[in-house]
Amino acid sequence: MSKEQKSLIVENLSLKYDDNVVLNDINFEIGDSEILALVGPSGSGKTSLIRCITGLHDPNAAIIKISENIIFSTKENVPIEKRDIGIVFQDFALFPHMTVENNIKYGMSEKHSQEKSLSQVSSLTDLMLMTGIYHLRDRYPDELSGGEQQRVALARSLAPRPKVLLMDEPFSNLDPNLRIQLRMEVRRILKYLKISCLFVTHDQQEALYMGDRIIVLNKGEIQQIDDNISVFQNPSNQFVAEFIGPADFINGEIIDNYAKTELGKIEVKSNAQNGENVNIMVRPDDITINKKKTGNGFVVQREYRGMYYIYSIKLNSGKVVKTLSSHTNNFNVGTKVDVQLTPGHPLICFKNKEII
Amino acid sequence: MRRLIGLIIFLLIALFSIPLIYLFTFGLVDLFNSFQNVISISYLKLIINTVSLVFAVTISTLILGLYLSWATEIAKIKFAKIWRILLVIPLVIPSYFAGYLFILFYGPKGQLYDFFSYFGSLDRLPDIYGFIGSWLCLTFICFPYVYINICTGLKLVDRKLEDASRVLGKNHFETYIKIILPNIKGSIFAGCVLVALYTLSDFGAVQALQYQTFTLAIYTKYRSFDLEGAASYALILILLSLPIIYYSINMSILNSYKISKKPSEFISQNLYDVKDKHSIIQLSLVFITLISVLIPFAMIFELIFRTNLTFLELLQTIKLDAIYNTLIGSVATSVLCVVFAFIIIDVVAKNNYKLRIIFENLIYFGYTLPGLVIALSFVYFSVNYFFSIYQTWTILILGYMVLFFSTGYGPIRTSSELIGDRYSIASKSLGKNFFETFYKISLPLYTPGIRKGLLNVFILTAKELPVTLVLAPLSFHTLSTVIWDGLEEANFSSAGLAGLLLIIIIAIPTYLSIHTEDIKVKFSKNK
Repeated sequence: MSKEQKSLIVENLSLKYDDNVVLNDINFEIGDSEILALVGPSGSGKTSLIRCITGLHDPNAAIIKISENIIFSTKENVPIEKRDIGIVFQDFALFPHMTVENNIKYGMSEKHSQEKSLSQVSSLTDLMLMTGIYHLRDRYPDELSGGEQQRVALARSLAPRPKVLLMDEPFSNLDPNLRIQLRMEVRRILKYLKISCLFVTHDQQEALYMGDRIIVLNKGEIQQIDDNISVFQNPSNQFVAEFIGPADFINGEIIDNYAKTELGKIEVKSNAQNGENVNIMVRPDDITINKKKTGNGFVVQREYRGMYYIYSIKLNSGKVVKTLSSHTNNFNVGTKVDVQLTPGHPLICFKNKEII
Repeated sequence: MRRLIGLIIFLLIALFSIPLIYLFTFGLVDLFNSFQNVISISYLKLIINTVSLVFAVTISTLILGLYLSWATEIAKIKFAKIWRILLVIPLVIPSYFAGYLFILFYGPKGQLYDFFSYFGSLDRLPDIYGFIGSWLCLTFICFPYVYINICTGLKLVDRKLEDASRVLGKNHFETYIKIILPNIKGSIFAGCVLVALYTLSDFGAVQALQYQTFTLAIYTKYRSFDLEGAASYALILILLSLPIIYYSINMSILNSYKISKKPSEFISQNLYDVKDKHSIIQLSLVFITLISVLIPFAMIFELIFRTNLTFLELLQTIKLDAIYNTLIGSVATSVLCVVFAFIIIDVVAKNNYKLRIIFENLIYFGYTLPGLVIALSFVYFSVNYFFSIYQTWTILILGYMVLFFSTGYGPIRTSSELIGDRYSIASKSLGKNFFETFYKISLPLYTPGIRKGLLNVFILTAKELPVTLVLAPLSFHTLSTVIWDGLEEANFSSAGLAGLLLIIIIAIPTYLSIHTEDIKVKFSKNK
């Protein structure tokens, strides 16, 4: 890993507004043609981080390198236009007075002016074809739909061949179906062109889909950097566990590799001592319910999601847990059910919100 | 109710048609009768003089406006807030006054001459009368129009575009030229059109600086009671300014501009660090303020202190009447304009698109006409058909209305467009009747527009000179006529004091009108 070429390296980045710490000691790197998803709730500092990397805002301290070249440090501060970074804004920021083609050409001209030959034309055409906007090339941005604008914004940012691409919540202005379609396409294009990308989103599903690895950011601090499966299955703390997907926590007492809980004895993965009390993370898919008059819980809420239900079950202890259930299991609110833990893998445990 | 409103509309349209009828009947007849004069050298000279002045002033104010807005809104400079206020002060100095103050300082034997001759013998300074003086003087009183318009445009531009351009490898100046300027084209044009119209219709500054333009020629005709001759001059002036009038009407009616997305939240971070050029920029702003604000005000006090009278005695020479008349005239005109504008917009125009377009063309045309032309058309009509209102308050206020109605109408119409009728529909669906909806919903929502409209008309009316000179009752005075008479009759101190009082009266409304948040900016933020 260390020998591999890094596209972007951020070291010890801190940013304060007056006395407010916006970003605190941020460290991460993006490998060659890697997509790193940066996810966090609103106000966690995602946009500020993007602005610091592009140079729209100076951090209080940091070393930022792009392909081993320092673009920001205490001594250096490379101007925005010379950083070789591409960015796709949340609201696209397409130039309203230029056609689609001129928008895309805008960033190309200077770099490629010497070689303004066939190659530029063909790469421009290729880019428009690849992003599916070739037929729109003579239109103006306000004549395009949201999805089309998104594609133009992507093509425009890719045109100057940036070393790293930053995408700041690029799909948040689009409707849900389009988001899903576009994120598949965008990922395919980025992988095809071998673009390194920092993909910022507040949507966990999107982060899990887009990222090769994921950074979880909260209150200006990195909570975890890991590949997407690890972030979901082995969150480093309770915040990550709850933020990255629905999670409930039930009490348990450790006995060797097991924990004794109100839902019975269950295998866990933990360094906790025997006899210690811990919070065990259960996700909705780890719980199975069956209708039973003498059951250990009852339905307090039912959410119909089409293919499945999400039930909220109140246990005897008063604890409420969520569970995923097939659309054929139609239980009314108040139905007594039998609740069982069926994770199929050892569960992880937390104490004082940290993993144990 | 319907009949009453119908009558109001009819009378308003009739009122606004008076200058048109005057121009295109009497003016045209006179033009044909004296056709050989039209192609004479003197006419040609008038045309060249007027057109060259308009071009020169528009271009110089454009350059100043671009530079100043760049300095205060885009570059990171200290005291930007203070500069924003100082740079619009020239607006409060009426042109007829500014022209005289200009001579007082730069004239061949003016204060500047005194200053230089202090250091060594100097015969006289270069002549500033004529084109050069008029051009410089008008430039330094008009540039705020361009400056303010560009600043408003900059506030509405999505500053993310600037970020996008920088990230795509363009530096600050390229971004300014290729991205910012094209996106504020409308505001730049609007500012330039205002300046061009101001210059075309100004007669105070050119009169003081003795530069022969059409307005001055019209005034001379009027003084020799040749109303038909004045009409033919006016007609040529209007024909000359048709392109500008066309632009102006197009801009204000058809392209009330698109509202951009919400202004960037990070706006202050986008400012361009001028670093080592900072002191040069500050110096240039000091210099511009010196010429356009400090020197004129110094000259006003110089005028006032020429007298041997005590302050109270001097105040009595102005007569309280003048202050009173200025205030009453301005308040009455602004209230009437806004009330009628509101009726037209909220009651009539919503349902009748054609009527609205006709009406709006008429009132914007009124605004583009020089005050003098409107005044003469009213004199002609009242003398020939309504002698009972000749030289009365009534005709004076009607004249003001025709001249300034659109400046009160514009902001209210903008409000109306931004508000739409969804709120009043919501209110009616909640069971409120017409009057409750009007009082509780429409009126509060329209408040920013109404306020801006009132202020606009008030300021312009208070400063107004030619209409007042021509239409006011005999021995009737406003502050502006006191200044005019004082300068003509060498009552310098009372002219100076009247000027100061007038500036004080319009200073706060001007400040409020400019620096209370622009209606469009406010609404686009709410979105």
